[in-house]
Amino acid sequence: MVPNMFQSILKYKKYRYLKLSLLSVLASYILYLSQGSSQPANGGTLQGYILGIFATFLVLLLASLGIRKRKYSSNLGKLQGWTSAHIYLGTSLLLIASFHAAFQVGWNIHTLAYVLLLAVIFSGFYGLYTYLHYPRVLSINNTGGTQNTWLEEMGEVDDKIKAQASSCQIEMRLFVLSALKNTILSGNFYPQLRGKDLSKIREQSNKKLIPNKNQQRIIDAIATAIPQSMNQAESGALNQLLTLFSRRQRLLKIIRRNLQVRAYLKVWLMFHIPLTVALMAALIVHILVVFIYW
Amino acid sequence: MIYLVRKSVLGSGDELQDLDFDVNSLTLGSGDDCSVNLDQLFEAVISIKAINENTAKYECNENISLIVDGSESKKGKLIKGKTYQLGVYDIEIINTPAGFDFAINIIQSKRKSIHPKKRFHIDSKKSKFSVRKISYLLFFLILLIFLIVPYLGFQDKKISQTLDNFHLPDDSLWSSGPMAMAHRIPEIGDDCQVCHLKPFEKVQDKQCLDCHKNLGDHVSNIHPATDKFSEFLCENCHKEHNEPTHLTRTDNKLCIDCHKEIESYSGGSLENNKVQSVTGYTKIDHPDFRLSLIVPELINGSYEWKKSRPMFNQSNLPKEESNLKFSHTVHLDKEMVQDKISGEPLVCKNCHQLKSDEEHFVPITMDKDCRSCHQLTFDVYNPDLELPHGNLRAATVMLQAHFIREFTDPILRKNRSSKKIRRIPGKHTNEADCSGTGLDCGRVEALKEAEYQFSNSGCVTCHEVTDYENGDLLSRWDVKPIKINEDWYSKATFDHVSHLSVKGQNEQQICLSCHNVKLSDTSADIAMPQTDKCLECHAQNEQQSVELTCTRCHQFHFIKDDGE
Repeated sequence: MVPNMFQSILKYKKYRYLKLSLLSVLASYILYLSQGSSQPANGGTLQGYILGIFATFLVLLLASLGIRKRKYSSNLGKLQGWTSAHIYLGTSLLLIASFHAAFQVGWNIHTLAYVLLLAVIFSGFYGLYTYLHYPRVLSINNTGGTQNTWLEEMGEVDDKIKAQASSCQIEMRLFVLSALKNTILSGNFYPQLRGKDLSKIREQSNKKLIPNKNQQRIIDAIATAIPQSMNQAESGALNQLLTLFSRRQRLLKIIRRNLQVRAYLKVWLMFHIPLTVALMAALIVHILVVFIYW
Repeated sequence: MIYLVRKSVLGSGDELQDLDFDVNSLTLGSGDDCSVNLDQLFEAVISIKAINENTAKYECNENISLIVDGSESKKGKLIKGKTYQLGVYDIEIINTPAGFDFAINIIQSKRKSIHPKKRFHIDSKKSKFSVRKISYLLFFLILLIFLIVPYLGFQDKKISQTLDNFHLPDDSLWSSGPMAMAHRIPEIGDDCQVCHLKPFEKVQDKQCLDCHKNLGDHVSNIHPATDKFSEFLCENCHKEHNEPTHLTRTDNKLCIDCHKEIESYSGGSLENNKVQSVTGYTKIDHPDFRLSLIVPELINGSYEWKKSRPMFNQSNLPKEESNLKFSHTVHLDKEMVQDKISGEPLVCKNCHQLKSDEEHFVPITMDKDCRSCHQLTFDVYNPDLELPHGNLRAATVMLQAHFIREFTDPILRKNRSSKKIRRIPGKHTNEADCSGTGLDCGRVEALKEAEYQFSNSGCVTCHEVTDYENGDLLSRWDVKPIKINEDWYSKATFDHVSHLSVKGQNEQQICLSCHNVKLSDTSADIAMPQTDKCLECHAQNEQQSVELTCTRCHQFHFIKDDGE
């Protein structure tokens, strides 16, 4: 995610889709204003039907972006163009659908469709914000590296820690290995989103798991053990372990933040997509029942 | 079962460690709860249960798989002679020494430990929260709640009742807006199917006319364009569930769409008594008003009142034929006529009282509006007696009966002759006595009084009287019946009250500004405003004009039995 990519999506072909959207909104507004002679503005007038058909067409067009994104070989147009259209036409739908509904709401399926549409659009706004904001945050956090290089390095650090741990006394060795084993960097989405470090370590005296946030507990234990080491080899190994865990601490922070930011970039889709599918269902019912009770 | 595990010591692949376990099955993992501790497995755990010395069953948890001959599997059998990869470890079944039931060798290979990405499930697709599942769930939930369940209720009244009883979703969720206040009646309630009988079919007229029984049609049954209305439903003009409520169309297109070329709806005829085309409300777009008059017609010796619809403009000023003699000029002249009680000059509303419809006026009657000044006295010696009104025969019989009685009864005759009545020169006065018999005197005086009433002053003041000069009191005169028009523009409506507020003018001035009767000496004058008068304020497309839609003056549904 490069910030420029999304800025260029907004400016795509000299704001082609912004202009198209403004034109659509203007035309819809004129159509909306032309109502009121025979009955008040609503979705059931001729103009209301036209606005409804146009809004439905736009919803289907915009939803098809989801399909388009998965077909990179498609010749239907550049993905960038589709995304730009998605953003601008989606925003215009906010007004076009409101004109269709004539700003009337009630406890019924018609308003549910309208509310779902608003929810989809606003979740899309949040998505756009994340795409404009978080790639920069990710770039700053990575300081030139990538998630993979950090993970590779952590694998190496962990191997080195295990090797060094073998030179320590059994209690320290098990304590160190417990810190490695109980490091939590969950791949599940919600913990990633929270970004909270729930790592633990097993206390050797009572075999209980205690918090090891930011690897601080093991670092403290190693730092305390260094002056008490019995021989030079063990002292050297402990010093090495201290350095390695400090690096591990740093790596975990970077990786955890990376995961959190990437979760931010994805979380809106967890609303945007189900809400879009729900909107499709509501639209089907909305259109059907209008004609069932014509 | 006694297992022997031969394991390479951490950090030194050549050094082997023999461990024995008396367990049902071995568990290999990095936790303290595992029988064999393999640090490099982290969250991976595998359980091994020997079947015999050469084979064993194994099962891995979700974090690892066994690899043998290049293929991965989570569970299966370990067979002696094969080497199985378990992360960085290799596992193989070895010969079972005496005293053991099963033996395996675990060697730490040079392979790298599990990649952190895999270890920590980074980029794992596994999640309890699946966007796809939630999407499907929402999709079907909405279809179920908002379509399927209400539709079941729509198809079956019992289900509908059950849904209603348990406050479950029903077809009220399909409503596109609240019903008009006029339709919120117990007979309709929340039952959509009172009007919506069949799916995908517009509301039929029968559903409306079940309640609106007395609603008139737009044209009569004999109208040449009757068939053109067959395609229209009530629903075309009357839209329910609108916000704001707007049950009736009031836009000009409602009328003008057909009336702009009314020839095609009236058999191509535009004769004088036919409707004329209209395209708006200007001098050009709207035809002159057409009066609704009632005209007396003598048929077989009695009068009948026929309707007449003449055009009304400066070149055609019809006359009213009410048979009433009346001068507005006289009655509005403050020197000549004053209110009997207040002494003030008469104003319009002394006689013309607005009905509750705020358009028409309470009919003028002798008793209500005239008698207070125009008493029907006929004998100065009995000023408290009045002739009956509205019945010629009763009046003449009363005249005769009264005077015969006056001159026949000796006491009455004596009293009458003794009364001192001051005679005013030039004014009619009854006789105090006469020289003949009571019967003769009474007849003579009755005839004299009748002649006076029907020729000089009295009945003849207001009525058209015909004198047949046949000498018979009871059949000599004929009084034409009076019928005052009550609806001058029967095809239009008008709100008098809203027009009675004009800055700088009092009510009387406002009345006279439209109904100029100050110089009207005869009731034949029709003092109704013409098109031009209304256009002064209501012309279309003009600045400072109170524009009117057609329906402000004209109704679509005429009342039944209108006869036109």
